[in-house]
Amino acid sequence: MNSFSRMPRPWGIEFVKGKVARIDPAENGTVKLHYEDQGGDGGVQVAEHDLVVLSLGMVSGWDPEGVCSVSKGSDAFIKTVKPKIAPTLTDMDGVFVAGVAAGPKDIVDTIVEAGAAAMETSKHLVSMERTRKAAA
Amino acid sequence: MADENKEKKGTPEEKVGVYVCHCGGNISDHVDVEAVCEHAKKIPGVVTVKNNVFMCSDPGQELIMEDLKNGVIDRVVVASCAPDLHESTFRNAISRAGANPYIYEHANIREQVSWVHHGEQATHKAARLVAAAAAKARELKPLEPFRVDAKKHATVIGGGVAGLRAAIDMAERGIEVALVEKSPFLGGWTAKWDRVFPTDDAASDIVSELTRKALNHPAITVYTCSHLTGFEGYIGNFKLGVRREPPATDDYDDEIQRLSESGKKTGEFVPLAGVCPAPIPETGEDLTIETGVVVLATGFKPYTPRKGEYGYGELEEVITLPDLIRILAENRDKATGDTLEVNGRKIRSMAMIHCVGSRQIPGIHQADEKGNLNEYCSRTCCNATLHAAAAIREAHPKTRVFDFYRDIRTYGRGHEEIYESASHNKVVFFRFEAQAAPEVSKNSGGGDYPLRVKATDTLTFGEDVEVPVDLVVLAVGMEPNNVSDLVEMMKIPVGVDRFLLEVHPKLRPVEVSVSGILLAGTSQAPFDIGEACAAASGAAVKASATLGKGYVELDPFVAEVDLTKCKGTGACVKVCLNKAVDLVETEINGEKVQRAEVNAALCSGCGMCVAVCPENAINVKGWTLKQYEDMVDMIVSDQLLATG
Repeated sequence: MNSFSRMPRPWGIEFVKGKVARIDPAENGTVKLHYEDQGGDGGVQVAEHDLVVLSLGMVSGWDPEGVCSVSKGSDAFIKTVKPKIAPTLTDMDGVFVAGVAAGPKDIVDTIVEAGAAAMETSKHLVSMERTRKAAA
Repeated sequence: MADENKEKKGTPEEKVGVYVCHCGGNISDHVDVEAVCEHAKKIPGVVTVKNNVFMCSDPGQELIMEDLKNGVIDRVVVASCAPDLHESTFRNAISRAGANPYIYEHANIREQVSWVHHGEQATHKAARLVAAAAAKARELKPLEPFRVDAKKHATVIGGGVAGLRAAIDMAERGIEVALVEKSPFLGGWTAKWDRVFPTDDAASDIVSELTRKALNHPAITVYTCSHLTGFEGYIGNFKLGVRREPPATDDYDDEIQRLSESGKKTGEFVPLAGVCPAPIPETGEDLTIETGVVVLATGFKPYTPRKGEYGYGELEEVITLPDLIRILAENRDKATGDTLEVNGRKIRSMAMIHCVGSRQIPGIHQADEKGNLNEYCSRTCCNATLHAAAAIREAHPKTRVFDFYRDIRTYGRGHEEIYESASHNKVVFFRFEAQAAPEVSKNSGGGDYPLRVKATDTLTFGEDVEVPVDLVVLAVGMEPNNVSDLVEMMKIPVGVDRFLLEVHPKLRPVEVSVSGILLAGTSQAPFDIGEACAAASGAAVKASATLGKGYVELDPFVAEVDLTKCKGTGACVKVCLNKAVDLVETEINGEKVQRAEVNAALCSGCGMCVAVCPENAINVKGWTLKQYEDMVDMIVSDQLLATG
């Protein structure tokens, strides 16, 4: 995983540790970036670019309110009740959660967690079946 | 269907369809797809040539299915990405069209062409690979995957949280499970932690809940003090040799001592040791386990710093993060003062240093004695360090904590809050560059602090700082446990980071290239407890799906003996690594002779036997010598060269 951050240097990617304060339009369709140069000598620097790409964070994509009574965390993602040993359990019996619905994560972690949710679901169905047979 | 009838009769001239993918520019930006198609039209046996922006898309697959259903073609070549991505996609499409999925051949013109060659040469190479694939496709025969019965039994190797999680999941799904653990204890490294981030759960609760479930489940048999000594068989039918014996002296002395001092019974959690489910055996015994799948939950070990790395091993006040966590756990039972105490010493000021044994850079960091560098990020140490730092500041306000980091990576849910909590609790941060790591040395200056840490702090634009401290804690990363014996026995691949390697991180994240062997937890990569349990459940669901049917289907690409040519030389038997070929006695024309026979379930289709047979009497189905010859003929064909 760490290989990404070191790889781009030979490809001409320059990493700047800084905090962007403002982005202004500049001449000929370019943009001016005002930022605090934390990695260098400090102070405010201005960089001119043709294109600025904003790397966005993730926000919760769905609010269960009014649809089902599964709880949310304070971050608005679906609440999980056993994040350590059973990360796909919610506070509603028979409702499971997988992937970024339960908080930001990458594709690999999402897919692995989806497998875990499938496991919990499968176990749930088996135990329902068992209960039904016992009752009959 | 009309096609099936033709297949049964065997048409002398197979009708090959060639489908070339643009991969949305990935291929077509470097390869002239139209030119490749024009070449393909001239290849003998090719009756139709089409291209699509994405052959793997529904419309792309539809092209193939339509042609098959209409009887236009009965052999398929797709020229696209590497076969491990979409070979199965196209085989499935062929099945859905009602044809045999093994009449399919794949040409890789992305990884092997457009990503590595440019211009005319790329187009030339693509045309030749397509021609070779088409030539091979003509000789493809419809094949049937064969079924073997699968034992509804799984073996989990490793009794940490991932192994326990996987065992419980499979057992609850109706699979018999053998859990094999080399130490006398269950719970792995988690049993040696205190409170865990971000939930602040007690590690003892986590381990106890899992071990209680595992030990009470009638379908789970636990073998502690046990390790694998033998491995043979194939998916659905593995046979494992297991040796159960008293642990070697001083391997688990600390844990065993904690067990006897605690007065706890078997099955109960012993702090900083784990759960000992059964008495430690006094003599050794050998067992055989017949099993359908194997889950490798062999875990990690914390990095051990080199002697002298940040003073480790030379200055007694330098410890690792697992050492600190153990001290915090032990201090829980004692009266806490406003200053942290370690071995009776008051810690007025302490330093924590991140990325020790992780994110190592060639040329900056020193490799270990085997030449290994841990270039990966261990993912968990930032959170664990900050969690411990915040806890210390809260419980012991007179202990000052200085945190030296390269980068802070608190990436998961609820983890950034740990960083915030540490900041709010007045942990003081310094940021250093990899090439200017902090220096830990004896404090020769003023004050009675035994150590001082010097660093160049980039947060203050390169200011040199010097901090007198009573304790230095190294946030060590994770390294895979040494499982070279298992790797050797099972022939499973290992990544450059020395963790076990999955087939594909996104498409097949818990499988390895040997079918029937699955990965769970930190045997694969650094994970925290939640991630390890998710991965373990992912492996368990894969195992359940594999064993649930009671049988497994294996690819038919296995060796086949031509008894009209075989003279029983036994050359094939000698080279076979899988012991899949045997000489058996048979009668030909009233004479007793020896002839080769293949056990298809054991054969991996490697082709070693084909290479050594002096009679050319053995072939791998779907990859016959005739097909290789046809492919080579096409690659060197003058006809293509002239038109290329």
